[in-house]
Amino acid sequence: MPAPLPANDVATLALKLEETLTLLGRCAVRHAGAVNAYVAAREAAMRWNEGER
Amino acid sequence: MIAALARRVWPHALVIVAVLGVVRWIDHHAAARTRGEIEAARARIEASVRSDLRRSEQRLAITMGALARQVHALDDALAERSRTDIRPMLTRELTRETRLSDPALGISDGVREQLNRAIPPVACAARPDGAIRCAMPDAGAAARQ
Repeated sequence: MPAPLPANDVATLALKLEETLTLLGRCAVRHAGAVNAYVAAREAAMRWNEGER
Repeated sequence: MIAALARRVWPHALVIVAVLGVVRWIDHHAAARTRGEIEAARARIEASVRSDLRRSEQRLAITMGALARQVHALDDALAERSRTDIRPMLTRELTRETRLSDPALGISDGVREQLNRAIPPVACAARPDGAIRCAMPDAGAAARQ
């Protein structure tokens, strides 16, 4: 989780926004990786169950 | 009379007993051979399934490895982009005007407090099996706020 806002000024707010947006992008990439890993594992399991070994 | 009958019957009985013995020996031998064949077939199938399983696991490990490398590369690129490009440029723009760093011209304390409260009170921890468990330490209190 990001650290709390330390001050009220616009510069601090803008820097925190930049940090949050970057974290959001990185989180999206990691989430996509987790979803893709799940899909790959599921496909492998289905292939196995269908006798495609 | 009985003795004469016995003398006539016993060679036949002997033949019948011998035939039954041979049949029983063949039956026993065939059963043992069949059991051996079943066991050998079971062992062959087990070895084949194990081999297929190893191959399937290796294929999946290769796929997962490629996915992990892709995610790490993108993640690192985003962190690097922020550190070397976005943040320095943003800092430069912010220092152009002093009003942007003046707390009196910024958001109120109340707004800041509410923004800080928006940071989710979620704690995530790695588990021994490699999974990650996330929980809200006090979900009830968070919902009441």
